[in-house]
Amino acid sequence: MTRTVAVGCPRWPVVAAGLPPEVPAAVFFANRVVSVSPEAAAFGVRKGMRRRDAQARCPELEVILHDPTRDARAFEPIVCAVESFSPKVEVVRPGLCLLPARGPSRYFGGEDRLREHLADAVDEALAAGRSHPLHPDDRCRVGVADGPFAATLAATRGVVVPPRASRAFLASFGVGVLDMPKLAGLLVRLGIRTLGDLGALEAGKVAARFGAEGEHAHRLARGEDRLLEPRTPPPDLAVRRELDPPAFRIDMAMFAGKSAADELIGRLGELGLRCAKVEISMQTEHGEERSRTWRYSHHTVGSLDFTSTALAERVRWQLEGWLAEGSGISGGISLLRLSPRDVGPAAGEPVGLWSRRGEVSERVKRAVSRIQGLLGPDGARQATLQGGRHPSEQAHTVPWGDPLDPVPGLPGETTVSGPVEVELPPWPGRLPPPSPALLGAVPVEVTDEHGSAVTVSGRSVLSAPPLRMRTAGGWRRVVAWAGPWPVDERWWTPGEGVRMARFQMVLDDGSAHLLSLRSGHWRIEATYD
Amino acid sequence: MPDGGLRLGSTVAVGGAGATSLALTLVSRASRESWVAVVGMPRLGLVSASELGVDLGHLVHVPDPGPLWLDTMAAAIDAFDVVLTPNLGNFPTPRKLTARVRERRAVLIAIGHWGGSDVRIAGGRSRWHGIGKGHGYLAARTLEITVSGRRGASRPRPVEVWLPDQEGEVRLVEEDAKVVQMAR
Repeated sequence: MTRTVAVGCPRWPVVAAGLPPEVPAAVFFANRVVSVSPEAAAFGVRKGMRRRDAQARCPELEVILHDPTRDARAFEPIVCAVESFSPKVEVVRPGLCLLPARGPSRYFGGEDRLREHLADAVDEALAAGRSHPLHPDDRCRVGVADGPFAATLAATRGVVVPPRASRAFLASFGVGVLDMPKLAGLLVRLGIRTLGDLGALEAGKVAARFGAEGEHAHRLARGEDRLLEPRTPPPDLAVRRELDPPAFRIDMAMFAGKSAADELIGRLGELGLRCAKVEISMQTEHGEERSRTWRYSHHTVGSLDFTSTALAERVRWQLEGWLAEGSGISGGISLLRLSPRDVGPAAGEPVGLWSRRGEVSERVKRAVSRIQGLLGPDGARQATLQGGRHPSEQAHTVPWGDPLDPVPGLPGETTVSGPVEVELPPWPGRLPPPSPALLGAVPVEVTDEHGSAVTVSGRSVLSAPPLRMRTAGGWRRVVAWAGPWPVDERWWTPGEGVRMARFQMVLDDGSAHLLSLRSGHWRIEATYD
Repeated sequence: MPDGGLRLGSTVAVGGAGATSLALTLVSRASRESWVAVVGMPRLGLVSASELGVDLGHLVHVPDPGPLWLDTMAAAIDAFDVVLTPNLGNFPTPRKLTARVRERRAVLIAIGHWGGSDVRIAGGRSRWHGIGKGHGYLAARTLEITVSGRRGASRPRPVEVWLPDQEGEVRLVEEDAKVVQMAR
């Protein structure tokens, strides 16, 4: 059992936003509170609350959108401060890092002394990067215990748990701290509320009833937070990417970072291995080197390990930190290396046997990489269909290589690829096919037989049949038309509401257009080319 | 098509009315097995592409290559089986690209004029069906197209096609086609 120090900054997403302490603030993700400032907590704003409920309790609440990149960038100086105590720092997430206690505690004369020194150093680093004073509750917490899980919880209370006393220390915590919401919910319903209750059960029975996850939780509750059997990975597992030209911008570097993450996870997967820690290192064109270890989770047992998306996210956060101003980097990144640490045999099922991208030929992948290298990651995109009224809303594109979002408008979490065989649910007001082949709005004029502009009343009644249309190419006769089809969208959000009438018109040159009339202005929205 | 389909290594220029739909139709069958790149068409209606049978899962969309169009095209032709692009006009006739297409055995479909193209398809008169004066909606279209080219199709042949018909399919208007030919 390794004595571990955990350095945690509570409410990091709020602290990273850098607001003055007297402002009540909360960080939101997907309309739910993920982090609350002490001031807002005094109003009764809690984690998991909806935005509306939170604002009802505290109308002057500062709403901050969750941005992991900002958190990571702000955390980098803190990690640097911790790194001056031990080079073996492992970052778990922005706001939490771990280091082994053994070396530094001897140097500082005991774990208590180490804890105090670390807390002072980190608070100094925290204060240095801020324009406002830190709220006393937001100061960093340092804890020492056996293994990362107990240490992380020790940090929340800022204590040193003596060796082999983890189990007693953990017993009073609720099962919620396990970070396994499904299992925790079940345990609470069964009357097992604390880690002590869980630890008191017989290991074999827990495994039989709750499976591998339960066994993992049980071991954590007993303070048996074992390390993965550390095995030195074969050297060829590390993935290197040379960047030529050197990358100054994060998106350029991430382009290599993402492919390196994919490759590393792919290689590990082929060998039936997994890793819980990855060392990310880089070199700039001027020879400056940086390296940092990221740990997937503060649990060390169980089946938690990096996926390529999770790893790519860590790489992005780290690069953001290194490329941020004032980090002392003078040139672009010329070399990026990902080396797995703590490699062990994979547990559970391999994923990605039939991954959709598997069919992409190497040739195409390389070409797309080249195009993205020329134009940036947004340059090459892939598309799927989704629900919507307007033809431009019905197709959704993302940069090539990003996961295609679950299709909005489809029930459940279906990810649709390729031609949509899935029947899209009806969107009232969606025009029947064929859809226009060319999009793009062009203002035009539409007049009736007397030459005055055609309008539509509030009750969708046309002032007169449209007869002529003026486009960039001059006046054209309207030979056929249909409409008005009223569209009244998003009226529930102020400023986003759209009220318009749509028409289809065929001109005397045979061209057909989709038009919209919005507060007196006619536009060609799309063309049926 | 004069050769019964897209010939590897050839360049097809599509112009006139309905050029975008025609080009998408040409791409559609290829997209089921091969990879298609669309370069420099930010306004392309992807829904329409899907309706005309293009497999979006095999399509890479490069909406706006800007001044790097030529480099992007070169990269795309090297790897993709079919590349669709408009002739952006402000580049010199890219004879090198045409040669590259031939060498790599890809197919280039250009919208607008393309110097040295093997096949030219021009859309002519188009008629819309299903829409009247104030009623109905655009349901189907017939389009007169003329295919001309160097090889099998040296004599221009005007034909009329449904693009699309009421069911969303693309097919020849056989009867009309005969009438048109006899009238010539």
